[in-house]
Amino acid sequence: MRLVYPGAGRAALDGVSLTVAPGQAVALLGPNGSGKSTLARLCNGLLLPTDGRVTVDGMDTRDDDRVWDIRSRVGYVQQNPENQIVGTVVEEDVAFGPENLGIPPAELRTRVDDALRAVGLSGLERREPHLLSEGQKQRLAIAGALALGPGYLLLDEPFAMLDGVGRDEVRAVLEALRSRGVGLLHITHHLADVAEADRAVVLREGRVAFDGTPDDLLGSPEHAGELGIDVPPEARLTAALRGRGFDVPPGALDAEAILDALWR
Amino acid sequence: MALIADGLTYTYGAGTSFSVPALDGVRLTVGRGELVVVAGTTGSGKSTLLRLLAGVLAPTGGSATVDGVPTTAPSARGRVALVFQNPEAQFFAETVLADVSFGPRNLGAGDPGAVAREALAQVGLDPEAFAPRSPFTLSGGEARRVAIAGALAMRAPYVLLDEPTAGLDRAGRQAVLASIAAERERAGVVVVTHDPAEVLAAADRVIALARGAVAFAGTVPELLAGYAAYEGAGLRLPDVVRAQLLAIERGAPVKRVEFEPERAAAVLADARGAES
Repeated sequence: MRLVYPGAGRAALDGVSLTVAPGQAVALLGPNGSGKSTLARLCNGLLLPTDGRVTVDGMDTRDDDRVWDIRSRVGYVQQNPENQIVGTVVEEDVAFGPENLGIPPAELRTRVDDALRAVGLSGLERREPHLLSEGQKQRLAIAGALALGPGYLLLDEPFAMLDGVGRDEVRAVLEALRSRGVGLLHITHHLADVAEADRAVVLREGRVAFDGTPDDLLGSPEHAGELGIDVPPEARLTAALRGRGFDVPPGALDAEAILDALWR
Repeated sequence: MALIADGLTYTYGAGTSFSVPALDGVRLTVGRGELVVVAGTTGSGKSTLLRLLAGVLAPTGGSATVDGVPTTAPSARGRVALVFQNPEAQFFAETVLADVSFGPRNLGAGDPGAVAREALAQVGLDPEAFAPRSPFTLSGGEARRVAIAGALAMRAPYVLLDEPTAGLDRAGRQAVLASIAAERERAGVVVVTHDPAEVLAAADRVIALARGAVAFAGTVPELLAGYAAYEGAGLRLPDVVRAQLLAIERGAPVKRVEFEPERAAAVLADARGAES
């Protein structure tokens, strides 16, 4: 597909093809301005392609009759959880989306409870969102998307505003969702975030510059650096160890895994 | 001549039923030319500490002074520059030059435009190309650097930065880190972050906050020698460093600890080679 913003000289996206299957996690990487967020907005029909097409479970995003089906199939979680909280208490915030879609009250209750359970916020239904930790806020944002019953989640830098504890919480939630068949498109510029992904796609100036496994990228930090990707220092460490003849796998990114491989 | 916190304490809504203690008895000294890293998880009191050091908040206990003057005193104005988190959200002028020269103009600098151009060059942006642009058309990395230039243009003897590299890509982060290194040549610099990996190696001192109190304070070698308190504050050393410390704990003959990955690989390879 191709997308040119009105008035822009260059296409924001040009000739990009990408598939996310149910239960698959695809990491979308690239420097600022490479077209990552544009691609995410095309996936749920917030933007329509200039050329080419985007389909969600067979539905074309150009099809006006399916626009609400598509928006509820593809959840969108933004970088900053503060920007997407609308309710005065947790359960109200989660109910906002499905309520607007006209879901009847009994089913609404079930959906809200299920979504809160999925992100580990059960018991906090009546809590005011500003009293939540940052990790809890981002999980609330995910619950809001889940309550629409999506098959896919677009995650735009979901860890950017979180500390280590918050990251671990959100990462565990995403892993659980994926194992239940939700397809994830995870936008990030940190390669360390995507070691668990099935596939890594790198965008550069609106085009696909790389499409392969995270290990292919982690295994050659120099190549990843040339693509404008942030290579975790741990990947540079293991690459240097491999260069010295030690068999340390590219996916070993924490101290324990690196040492276990080194002293195996 | 230093920026000093002594028994610094702050309670939000003190004296009301909503009072929330945010900082309790924090001690800290920052001299000119020093880089101090303040690390802590979300809610540990990092941003409150910065606001007190900048004089935006007045302490409810203890003191914060800059070169002997309380940071909230009128004569302390212009001595401490604070770069808030996501500072690019505060652009208001029509051009980059007008935005960056706003501070020096208010402080009565002789030639605010020249100071602003110098600050833009310091953050790695070509003053000629960027000065006439609208700040609202910049990329994320450019916007962050322009916002930082706005604080550096005040030529304050102390500069405080709250999460300066958060949300930036590699090129943007490298440019911001380079401008912090340059700023340290002439000022005392405090960087607050929940992810201190990339500024740790260059730090003179590291302070870890947990629930408003100092959980660890010391030099980087002291941090490496006793990092349990640091990790107890919910923080984690970079895994490149942890790998070497863990190797020591497992009895491997690690001679020194390096931050740079390729050097760390040499250290670990030597230790592994010496064992087999």
